[in-house]
Amino acid sequence: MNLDTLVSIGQPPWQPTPAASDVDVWDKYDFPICGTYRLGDDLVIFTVITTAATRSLWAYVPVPATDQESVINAQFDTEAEFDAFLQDRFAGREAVFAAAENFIITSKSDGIPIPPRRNALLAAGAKWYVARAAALTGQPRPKINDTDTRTLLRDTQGALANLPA
Amino acid sequence: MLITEAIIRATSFSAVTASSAITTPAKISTPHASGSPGIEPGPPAVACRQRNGGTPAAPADVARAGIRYATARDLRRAEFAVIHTCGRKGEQNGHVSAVWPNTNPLDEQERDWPPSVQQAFAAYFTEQEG
Repeated sequence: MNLDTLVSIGQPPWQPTPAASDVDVWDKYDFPICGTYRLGDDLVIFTVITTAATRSLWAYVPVPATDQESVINAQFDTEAEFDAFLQDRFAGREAVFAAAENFIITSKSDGIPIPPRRNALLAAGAKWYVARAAALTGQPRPKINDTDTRTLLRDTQGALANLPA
Repeated sequence: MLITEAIIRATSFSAVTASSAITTPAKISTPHASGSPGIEPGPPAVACRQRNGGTPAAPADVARAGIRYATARDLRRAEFAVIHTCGRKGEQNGHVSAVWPNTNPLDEQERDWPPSVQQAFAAYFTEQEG
């Protein structure tokens, strides 16, 4: 599918385009954190990557038609199972990232390949965000250290809080 | 059932919505949710973590967060429905939602509560901590 249609500027991250229908929220706390929506016959997974102050970083990936049934019917007994399933849906595929201010999307990426490794989605989202901010401001690109999860998350949240969305 | 509610200051999140962010305290004792290994995080850190998709929230956000408590019994007495909304994370996920009106809470949920309902909801929570 055309990844450019997944997300539109000015939309809430969980209803990322006016054409999105059948939004199915998998997890929520204050706001929908993760779930799916339909674009015509296509099924798309959305998830928050992290938040910092009023900004949030989101990821979107279409589900191959052959996998839709398993995604629609997925149930989990533990949070670890849930997280692993979600990670697998993005691994080895092209994702679209979006940044939001007060839960309104202000920018989005092209399709970005997500390698099948730990923290790949977080790292790819962070690198897209700082690259975009550097292009906008002309300032040097802050380094994102992805050697361990905690540092990567801290760097991502720092970039999100300090660089324009 | 004790209900906790994280309030992130300086954001646009309202504490009084049709499905407020409230959760049982089941995860409050989760160790090492944020901060240094070996240090038990406080309830705001745990609530912020849940709100951040299960990963530790930004330290500045945790520092700005407050928390307050209510019981499901009190909210139900005030004619709110309190329903377990665990989502896909399984029944161990302690998230619940307060719904008004309580007549058909699974299918009919008012998104905009009248001021009197907002006030009644807020009145059953403790003073904000943190």
